[in-house]
Amino acid sequence: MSESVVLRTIGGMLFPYILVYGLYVQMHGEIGPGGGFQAGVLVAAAFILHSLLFGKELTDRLLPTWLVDLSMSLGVLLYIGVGIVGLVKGSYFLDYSVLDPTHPAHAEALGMTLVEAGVGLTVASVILTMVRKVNGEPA
Amino acid sequence: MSLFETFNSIAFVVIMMLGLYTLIARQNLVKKTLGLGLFQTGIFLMYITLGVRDGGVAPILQEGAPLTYTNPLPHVLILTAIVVSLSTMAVALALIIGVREEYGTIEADEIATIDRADAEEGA
Amino acid sequence: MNSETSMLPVLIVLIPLVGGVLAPIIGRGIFGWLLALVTTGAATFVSGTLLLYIHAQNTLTPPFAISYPLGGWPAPHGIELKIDLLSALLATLVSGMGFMVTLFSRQGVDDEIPADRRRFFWSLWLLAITGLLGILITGDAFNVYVLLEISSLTIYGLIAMGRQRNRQALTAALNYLVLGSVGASFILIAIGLLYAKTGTLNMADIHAKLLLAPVDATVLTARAFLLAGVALKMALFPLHLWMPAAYSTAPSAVAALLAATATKVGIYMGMRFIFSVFAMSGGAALSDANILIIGICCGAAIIFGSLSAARQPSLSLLLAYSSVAQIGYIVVGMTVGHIDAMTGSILHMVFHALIKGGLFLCAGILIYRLGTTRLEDLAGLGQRMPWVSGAIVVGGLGMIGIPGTAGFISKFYLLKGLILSGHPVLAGLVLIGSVLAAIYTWRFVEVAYLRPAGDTPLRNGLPFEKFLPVLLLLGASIYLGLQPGAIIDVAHDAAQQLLGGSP
Repeated sequence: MSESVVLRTIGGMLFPYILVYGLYVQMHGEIGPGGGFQAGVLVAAAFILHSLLFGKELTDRLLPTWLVDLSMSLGVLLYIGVGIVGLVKGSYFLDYSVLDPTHPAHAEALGMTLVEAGVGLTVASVILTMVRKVNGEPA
Repeated sequence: MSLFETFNSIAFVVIMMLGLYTLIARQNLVKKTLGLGLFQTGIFLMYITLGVRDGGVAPILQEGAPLTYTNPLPHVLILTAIVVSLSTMAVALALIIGVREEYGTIEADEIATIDRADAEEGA
Repeated sequence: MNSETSMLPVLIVLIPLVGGVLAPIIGRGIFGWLLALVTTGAATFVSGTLLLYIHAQNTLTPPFAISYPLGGWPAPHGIELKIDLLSALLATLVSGMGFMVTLFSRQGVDDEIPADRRRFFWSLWLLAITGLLGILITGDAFNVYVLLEISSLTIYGLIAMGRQRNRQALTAALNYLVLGSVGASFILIAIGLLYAKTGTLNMADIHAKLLLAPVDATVLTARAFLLAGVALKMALFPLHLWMPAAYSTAPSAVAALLAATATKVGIYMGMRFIFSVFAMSGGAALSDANILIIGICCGAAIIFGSLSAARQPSLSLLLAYSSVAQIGYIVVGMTVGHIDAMTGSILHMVFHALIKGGLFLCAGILIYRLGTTRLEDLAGLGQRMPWVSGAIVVGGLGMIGIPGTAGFISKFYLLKGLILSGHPVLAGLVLIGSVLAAIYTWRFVEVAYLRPAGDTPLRNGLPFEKFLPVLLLLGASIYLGLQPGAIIDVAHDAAQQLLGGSP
């Protein structure tokens, strides 16, 4: 828990803005630099800042360990799930155009967005887990 | 080859060699890991330099007349390779934490001495 | 290709991947083991089905390979899975060995891995198998690098989990990490140079474009980097230094899996790149100078590996150095480019996986019951654990290549190919290697049968599920030694596809 009032105040104010920026970067992967990896790291950085300033216990209450573990797997499962939809509908694995048969171009965009969301979720969880382990917290 | 590409070509070889030297010559395990990361960063620079085209703009589709874009494929490859490099360094650091717990030191020569002493004891 | 088989190629990788991702959630206690068992079993079934299908089709219309474009994007723009006979054979081998070792290792994992880590152990296990299988079936060069790193990173983690038994597992894993990452980075450089030269990442397309372009410095540099990186991954002398420490300190299940699969996949990468990407028209893939250098390395691997094996203090280290020698055999058969030598090489890949896998499982049984594999503690093992000792001797005979074991068949083809292609020195080295293998096999026999029984306490019983895979694997090596027709057929056709320059 940081003892400096300045750090805690400014950090607490910045925290939601970092999260929103991460979300912005996530959504803008197709039309600017961004996408899943970068957004995941940004979101993780926000939570790491929070734990540095306010202490591990408060951050754990905000974002429990089991949730982080679960979202590691959920992100990858989302990615694979989008791919399996293609298999189920008789086409190839990771064929996004089957998500919306009437507008294949829109379906491709939808598929890419979902896949990037899965990637962002997994990357954020993994980096949070790494930092937690380095800090000596149990699995 | 433009001046930019020439400079980059020399630069990435220098970076790779610096990274490799650090990896081999330094005894501190964390410094070795940094050398590995530096070596891989040199490779990334090489890939991106390959994709540059004269007068090319950033590879984001813009409306209007067709422009010369730099090749986006190396950028995509490097994104993946950066994540691989990050993961490698993360695994290496996790192993180094374990080594510190078991051996009490993170200098490679001291660890080798401890291991040799163990082997002689028949541990 | 009918619709039932149309999604099988991607299922080979998808099933272990989903398993590996589910393991941290549902893998507590025995469910982790069950999940691993079910997924590896399913993967084996899928690869085996594909193997039979491809072999049948290949006999009708050679050369035959299945192509599966991911996402529907056609090659060369998209990433495609390209499964030919060699890929299918090795995929069946890798997933089959994964299943066998998973079957074996429930108590081993309980014994050697702390309880709160087990679900992560199974996750890493399945992800490593995913990576290895993926390398075998992909047709895209960069995809090979990505899957290689997936399998390598998970394997570094798996090796380090042996720290409970021997803290040197950490330094062994770290050593392997550094060397393996440098090797993989070399492969990355090679792929980058190939992309710069040809503008494509699809392996078949690179091959087509390289045939049209003159061989210049870019191509030669790419090939050099690639051979260096692959040599490290397959532990070819002198780049084998990471292997003995890694195999002897890893958890016993991990050592068995690695010995059977990881180096074979490295050799497959070498074969695939040399013969399907870099091969020049006319079939000459490697110049005489290349063959000389690689031949020297293989000869040194055979001699140094076998001699070192005889001097090791523990069975695990002995088996690891013996693997160094066996890899020398496989690579020497691969380099000369003769159909019989290549057949021998592929056969030896399969047989060595079976035999070495079985032997490392025996070492795992020794760890489970004795807590050690140090040869001085194994004195009199022939009386105390007769079945396991017998199994180890059978494995050793397979390494030597006694007629009646599978090792004899592969050595026979290797020798025939090496002599027919005009490399009698290399053939002589293979023969010398067999004699040297007898030396280290005798070392175990001498300790186990000719010394009075030691007094290291024997704990736990011998669970049938631990011995069954050993029986199956070593029994298979005897069976295939006596009835090798089918496997020789498959290996020969696979070699034919490879040397015919098929993608």
